[in-house]
Amino acid sequence: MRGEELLAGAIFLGIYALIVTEKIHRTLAALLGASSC
Amino acid sequence: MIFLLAGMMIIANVMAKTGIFQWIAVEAVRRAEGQPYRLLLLTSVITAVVSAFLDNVTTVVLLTPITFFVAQRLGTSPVPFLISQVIASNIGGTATLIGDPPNIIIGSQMGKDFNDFLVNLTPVATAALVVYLALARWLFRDELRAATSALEPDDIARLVTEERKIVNVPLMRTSLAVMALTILGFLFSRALGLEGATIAMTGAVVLMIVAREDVHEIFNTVEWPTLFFFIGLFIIVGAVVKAGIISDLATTVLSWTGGRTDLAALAVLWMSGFISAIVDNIPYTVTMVPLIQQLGQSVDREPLIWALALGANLGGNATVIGASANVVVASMSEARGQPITFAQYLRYGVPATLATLVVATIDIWIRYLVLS
Repeated sequence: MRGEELLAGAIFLGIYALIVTEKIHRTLAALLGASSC
Repeated sequence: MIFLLAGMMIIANVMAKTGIFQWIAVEAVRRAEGQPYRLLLLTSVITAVVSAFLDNVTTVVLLTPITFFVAQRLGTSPVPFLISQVIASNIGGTATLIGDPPNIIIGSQMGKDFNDFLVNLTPVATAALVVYLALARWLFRDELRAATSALEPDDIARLVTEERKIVNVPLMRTSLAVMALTILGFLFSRALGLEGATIAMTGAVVLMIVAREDVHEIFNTVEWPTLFFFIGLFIIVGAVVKAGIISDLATTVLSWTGGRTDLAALAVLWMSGFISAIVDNIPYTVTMVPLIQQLGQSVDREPLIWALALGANLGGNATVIGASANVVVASMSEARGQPITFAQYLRYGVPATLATLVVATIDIWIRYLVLS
């Protein structure tokens, strides 16, 4: 697995965890993820 | 997608001011004689049928206000009705070429027309809807029981006289005319060479000009959190797809099927169902189409195409962010003080998805593997 895939996958999983646990609003989680892509 | 949603929200919000949604809702309560399961059936079936011909997001933006009124008048939580509406919308969208974005992508890239979808997907989507509606009676049993006995015939008669009225007839005429033209535009969007977003935005702007609506007031009613959620999500999922994660995953799974059509079709179905539950089904389908074309050189392509459509569409039902309609309904509900949590949705979404995927498995098995 290349570094690019690892990074994108890690960001996705992290943001998904935030959305699932609803620690922060899903809109903010998605925008946080988008700004770190 | 973003502008399609914004345009439809504007049209729906102007229409809501006329009292038309309330009128339809009271009529639905009257026809179902106030019985909760009948209302659930009525709202779900209407949503599924409308979703087959209109974009799912458009459908739920228009129908969610009605469901809210219905639940309010029943004196019950709207959440089970809304979740059922989302599920019905995704199942209904599966049925036709124009019902759901993955189908439009598959149709144009794989050379399948409206009739191909009608023959291959409408029967199985109908069966899936029937199975889901039967399951819904059990899934929502506690909520439905709690809502029973809420409305007596006298209450319904009072509702009809007091609340079934249009408050602004001229505005209703204007907004219905614009809505009808917009829907006509959607149906002919491919022939016109226009995007759904262009048509929806045009409808919204024309309506605001003709009806002399206050721009600030109407724009305040647009669900900005939903729109920004999609912007963020599409960027993240775009990154995941571009990095090659989805295609690597799909290639690995498909390599296990060893060139057998039956295994490949079932793998495509369940893998699509699983992945679409997690990432949005639009970028997923875009990624999968070339892989299916490649795989189609060694095995029969036909079952794989329909397995992809069924998996991508039905899988979206599993989680609250699995498909666009889910997010829109959850946000509209949240804005009205009734949030639908991830876990709460999952309780209904996962059983419904599994049941409909089993129906799809049987369909693919019988039609393409046994009969051919």
